[in-house]
Order: sequence, then structure tokens, then C-alpha cells
Amino acid sequence: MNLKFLKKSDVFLIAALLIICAALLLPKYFSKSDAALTAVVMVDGEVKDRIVLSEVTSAYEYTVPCTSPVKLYVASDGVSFIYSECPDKVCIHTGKLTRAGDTAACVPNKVLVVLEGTKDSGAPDVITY
Amino acid sequence: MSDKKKKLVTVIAVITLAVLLIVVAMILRNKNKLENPVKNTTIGMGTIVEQTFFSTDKAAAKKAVTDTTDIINKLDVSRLSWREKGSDVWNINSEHSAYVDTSTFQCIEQCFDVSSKCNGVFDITVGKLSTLWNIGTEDARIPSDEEIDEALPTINYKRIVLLPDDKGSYLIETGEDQMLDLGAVGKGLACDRIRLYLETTDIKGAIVSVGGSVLAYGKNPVYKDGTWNIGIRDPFMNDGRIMGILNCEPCCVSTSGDYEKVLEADGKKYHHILDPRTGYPAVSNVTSVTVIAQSGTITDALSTACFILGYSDASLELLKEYDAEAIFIDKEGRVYLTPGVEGKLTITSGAFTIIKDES
Repeated sequence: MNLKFLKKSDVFLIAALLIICAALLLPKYFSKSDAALTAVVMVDGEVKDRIVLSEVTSAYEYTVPCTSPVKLYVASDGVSFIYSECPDKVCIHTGKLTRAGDTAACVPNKVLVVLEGTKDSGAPDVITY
Repeated sequence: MSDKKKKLVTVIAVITLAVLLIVVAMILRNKNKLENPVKNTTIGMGTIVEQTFFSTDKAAAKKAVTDTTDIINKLDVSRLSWREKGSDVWNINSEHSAYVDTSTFQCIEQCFDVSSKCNGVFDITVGKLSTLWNIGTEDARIPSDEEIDEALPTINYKRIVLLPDDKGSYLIETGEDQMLDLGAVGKGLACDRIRLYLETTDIKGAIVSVGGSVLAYGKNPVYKDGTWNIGIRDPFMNDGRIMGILNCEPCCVSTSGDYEKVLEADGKKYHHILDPRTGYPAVSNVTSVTVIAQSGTITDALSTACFILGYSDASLELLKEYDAEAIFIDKEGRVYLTPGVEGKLTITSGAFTIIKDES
């Protein structure tokens, strides 16, 4: 190659600058990697457990570490409340949480379960009910 | 031009280009930062609170999470809860005359206004009746006809007296037999208070759900047009699925449906939206109503009123009074839209069809 106006050192300089640009931009793309669907179990605002659903080989019952007996059913495709001594059972009626962003709570026992992960494209920002 | 000069020009050009590239790269990085919100889910006001804040200043977004959680809890404990001793509503209910905070006063004023425009179909003096049913609590039960007959005459918003004075104190008076219940509008009021707070911060965009009452604030940096996508709960599925997605500008959105907070007794289902005219859960031609407007207090109140009134001229006229839009869903999955939301709702479930008005 005949680089009439460029010395080797100039080429290095250009290369170095391009690398800096790339380095600045790369994290943007790497951070987009899919986060595994994780059930975050919280009691009174404190995270008690993070269960990665893809690592669940066989479904099991999970006892929430809180004062009143509250149980979850943890499976590889979702989490649901199956037992609580609260009167309204809103938590159990919520059903199985399967998608990132799904949330269920047993308000009387201050138990909150949130599915974290990458939302499907086209998923709403929030749900009104 | 000598070779040397040409070379110098080239080098300067290359360096300028590279610096430009770096600047663009850094701008892109910052833009990316705005797109990554601070998110939090917590329990507040007896329900699930979901907060999403977009800001280039991560610390400000994190502070917004704590601050808005405090706003919700304070509103519940010090203002609206009828169970909480010393709250504004508790004081009104026990003394029937009490000085209250501006936020409580304005909320009662807004409720009074809605009541007067719907002939009291929505009425915050339902306290006696709602505590009889207690749907959504551990004491939920079906009251006797006698009990209901006793509670009905206590419901009349016209007996609320609002007395603002020029010294900044606000007095509320009710009848001796009356009991206020602001449960229908508490979540919407929380949305309104959160918006007032956000306006004092650097938060560029936010979406907050207080138990399903939604505040969409500012611009959504994820989309070029800055709009928000709000899922509407599928009223036929009890697993939190959605029936469609509403695309909207900054606003508040509330939904009232007969699927939420249900008391099951004697093989019958009783939902929590009580008709103050009959004393029983409202018999409506719709299964859910979603209302869109600027104030959350108003959307909460209107969704309750429109659920009771059903898909009707009365509902449509009431909505017009507040420049509000609505989505009505009937028991067969037919969806009726007011003109302002036409084309804004994308149905995502085969069980629903948008019905176009012939007129």
C-alpha cells in the first residue's frame, strides 16, 4: 500500500483513536445481553432470595422466610403463591408469574415476588388493573 | 502545496474526525444511560407499587424511588386511611369536623365535584356501607338487608361541608352518622402527588403504578416519540394477563373491574364496587372500565362511576365533563372506545373485539 501522506506512526494514531471509540461504545451492546428470568423474593422490602428459574430442574415448594407460613411453587417456567394464611388470598389468585415484570404480593405478610429479566419486545411499560 | 503541508492537513483532518467520533460515542453512551431506568417494586397503600424512573442522573432516580415510596406511605398513614388513628380521614370520621392537609382537602373537593356530576353514583360517604361488606379484607361478608337499609341513608355527599379559610387551614365537616371512605381514589391521589414531586426533580420520564392506577410522566426515552405503553388487564383471566396495550402521552390511567377483590360466598361472587343507590355490588353492563385523564384522583373516581353507570350516555357525558377518555369492556369481550383513544389501543387477545360506534 502506498500511503503517500501517512507515516506508520500516523496509522497507529488513527488505529488507537478508533479503538478508543470502539471501547466507549462496546459496553452499550454487551449490556443488552439477556438476563435470565429470576424470581426475587422480598419480605418487608428486604430481598430474601433470588431464584434463577432456568436452573430449576424439578419443581418444588418454597417456604418464604417470614413469620406467617407463606408458600410458593417454584418451577422452571414460573412461580406462584400456593399457600398463605391471609384472608383475601389475592396472592394466590394472582396465579403463575411467567414473564419478566410479573409481580405478586401477599400484602398482609409483606411478601413480594417479582420476576426479573429481559422483557419481551412489545411488552407494556406497566399494567393497569 | 508541499507534501509536508498536505500531510499536516491530512493528520489534522484525521484527528478532528477521531475526536468527533469519540464525542459521538460518548453522547451515545449518555443516551443509553437515559434509556436504562432505575426500577423498583414494593408494597405500599396495601397494594403493589411499581416505580420506573428515567434520568441521566442515577442518584436522582434512586432518590425518586425512596421519595415516592415515602409520599405513598405518608399519604396512606397520615391522610387517607380510615383505619389509621390520627389520619385526616380518621379524624373526620371520629369528630365529623376536622382540619385536614391541603392534599386531603383538594382530594375531597375533587370527589365532591365528581359526585355532583354523576348524581352521587360515585360518593365518598359510602364508609358505613363499605365497612359492612369489607370486601378485600379478612372481615369480608354479606351484610343483612337490615344492615344495608341502615347504612344507605348515611350516604350523601351533599352533606360534606368544605371550609377553606384564607390562613391555609382546611376544615371538613360531615354528618354525625356519616363515614368517609377515600379508598376508591387513594391510589390515584398518590399518582397526582408523585407527579407534583417529579416536577421538582430532574427526572425526564417516569411510569408508576400504585396498585394498578398508573402515572405516565414526561417522555419515555425508550421510544422516539416519547410515548408510553400501558397494558390493560384481561378481565376474563385472573393471572394478570393483558387484553391489549394502550399507547399514550403523559397522563393518569385507572381501571375498575369486577374481577378484583372478590368475595365468594354461597356459590356467588361479590365484587368490591358498591352501588351507593342499592347497597350491593354494582350490576353493570361492563366488566371493566379504564379511564384516561390528567388527574389520577379524577381517573380513579371516574372509573368507579363509569363502572357503575356502565357503557351508557351517562358515562360518556360524565367523561366529557373532565376531558377524559375511556375503554369499556363488556362481558362478551366487546370493547368500546371514546373518540380520543380510537387507534391507540392494540388488542393482544383473541377474546376481544373493538366495536365501532355506528353513529
